[in-house]
Amino acid sequence: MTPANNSSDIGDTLELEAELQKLQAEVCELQKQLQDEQCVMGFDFRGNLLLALKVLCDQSLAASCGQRVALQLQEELEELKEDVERQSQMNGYRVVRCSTRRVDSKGTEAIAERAGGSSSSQQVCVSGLCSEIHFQVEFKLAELKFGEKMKRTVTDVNIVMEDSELQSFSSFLSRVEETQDLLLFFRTLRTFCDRCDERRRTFTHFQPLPPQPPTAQDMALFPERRWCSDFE
Amino acid sequence: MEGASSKGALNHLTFLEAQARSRKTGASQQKSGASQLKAKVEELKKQRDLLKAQIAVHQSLQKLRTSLDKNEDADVDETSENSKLLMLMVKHSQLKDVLLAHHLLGGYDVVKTNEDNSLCFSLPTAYQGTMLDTYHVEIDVKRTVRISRHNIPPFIDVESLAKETNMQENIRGFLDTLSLHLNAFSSRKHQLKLVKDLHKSVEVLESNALCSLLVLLLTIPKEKTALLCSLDYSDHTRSLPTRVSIKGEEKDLSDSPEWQKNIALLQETPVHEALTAMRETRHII
Repeated sequence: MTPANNSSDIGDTLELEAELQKLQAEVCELQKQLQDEQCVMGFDFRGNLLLALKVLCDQSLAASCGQRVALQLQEELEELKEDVERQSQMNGYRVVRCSTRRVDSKGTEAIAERAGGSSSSQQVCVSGLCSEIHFQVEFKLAELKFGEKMKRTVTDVNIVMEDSELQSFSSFLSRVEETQDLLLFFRTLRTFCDRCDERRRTFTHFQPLPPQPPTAQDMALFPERRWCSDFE
Repeated sequence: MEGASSKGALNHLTFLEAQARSRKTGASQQKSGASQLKAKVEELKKQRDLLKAQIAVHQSLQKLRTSLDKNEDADVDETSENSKLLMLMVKHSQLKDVLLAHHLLGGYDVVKTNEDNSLCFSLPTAYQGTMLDTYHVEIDVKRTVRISRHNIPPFIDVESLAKETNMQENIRGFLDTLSLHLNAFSSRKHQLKLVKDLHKSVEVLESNALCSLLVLLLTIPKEKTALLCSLDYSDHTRSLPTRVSIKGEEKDLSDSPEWQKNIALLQETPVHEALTAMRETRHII
């Protein structure tokens, strides 16, 4: 090696090392960013979802097995839909939508980690139908894991129901919100809806005659009463 | 099932990922010649590009999921293969969340087992917001509807509940009733645990496996005399007692108006909460 070549080699090396360091820092940043995204997402990248992710991140993979992965995912979707139908039949209610959002509870997470476990908190929002009655339930779900054991707690339960024949239900709703007893709520809701259905069928059977419009005499006798505008 | 080339491509990608992961960041690289450094730079560039792609996919998925949840029109190019895949992934996540909801709201998590000859059900129990034990029942449905397996404690007579609720014709009716019994039992068991944890000065003299009977020794603060408090939970579908009696050493306190209130409290509120109230009003220590 001539002296001239030696110094340019060293120059190259220094430049490359600088680039290496810059790239390492960039990669570190991106890894953190990815972790944050994964936290927010709540996607469970396993099986077909993991394959799909890999395909989306690599053009050559997309070309060779993109279609096959899409097909596998489509098949899995059909199975999931069947499963949802099975659950709806068995549980007596339909879930239209469920979304979860990770909630920050850094204090609890730190305590759990110090004790050798882990904790996470999610805000869950569910909307659905129980025999034509719409409901929306929101609650906070906290999970504490210690090795094999897991403890789940539900708090901040909030329930909104479509206002139909539900006057009697509202005090029950308040009690459920107070005691956070979600399981009790859905068991009772289902029984209540079954009864409502029975009652509705019975009432339809014994339909009352349509009401008669008020006579002039009625209106004269009771001038303060607001007569229904249907009759006007 | 996968072709050799796609398997090879996947393996290669996995290998690259593993290699990139095992590389220690932050430490200074050994001075090992420009060509080796160049190779490392290339590796890191690949890793960086992969990470950027993954982040972009995550962000697209999140955006698409949010707009689908709101029933908005998805802002995607319908024809691109990538968009189709993204859509499938988001729909997958929506369905998984629907199944999660069924599970969290206390559903039976029905699963087909035994080559579709049986159905397996999970029965979760909870005390207010705290999830307690989950029990399982497997029911054969192929020829006759009958229970094949379960992990329910023997003091709850599952077979007779099945007969009473006509399980053959109405599995859900049976499960609802069984669930009622299990939840009440879990609840009573949890209340007993809370009594032992929160009320050290209360002695549990007698209890049974079903937690349908509880005898407690309470102490009155001033005279330090003992009281025997018996709680009968003869309705096994409830977590509150059907009958409460409090007896002092000298006399039966059921007649005293003060203790009437306490007895009513014990009948209407969970036992550990009633005891706390009684301690706060200085009726017991």
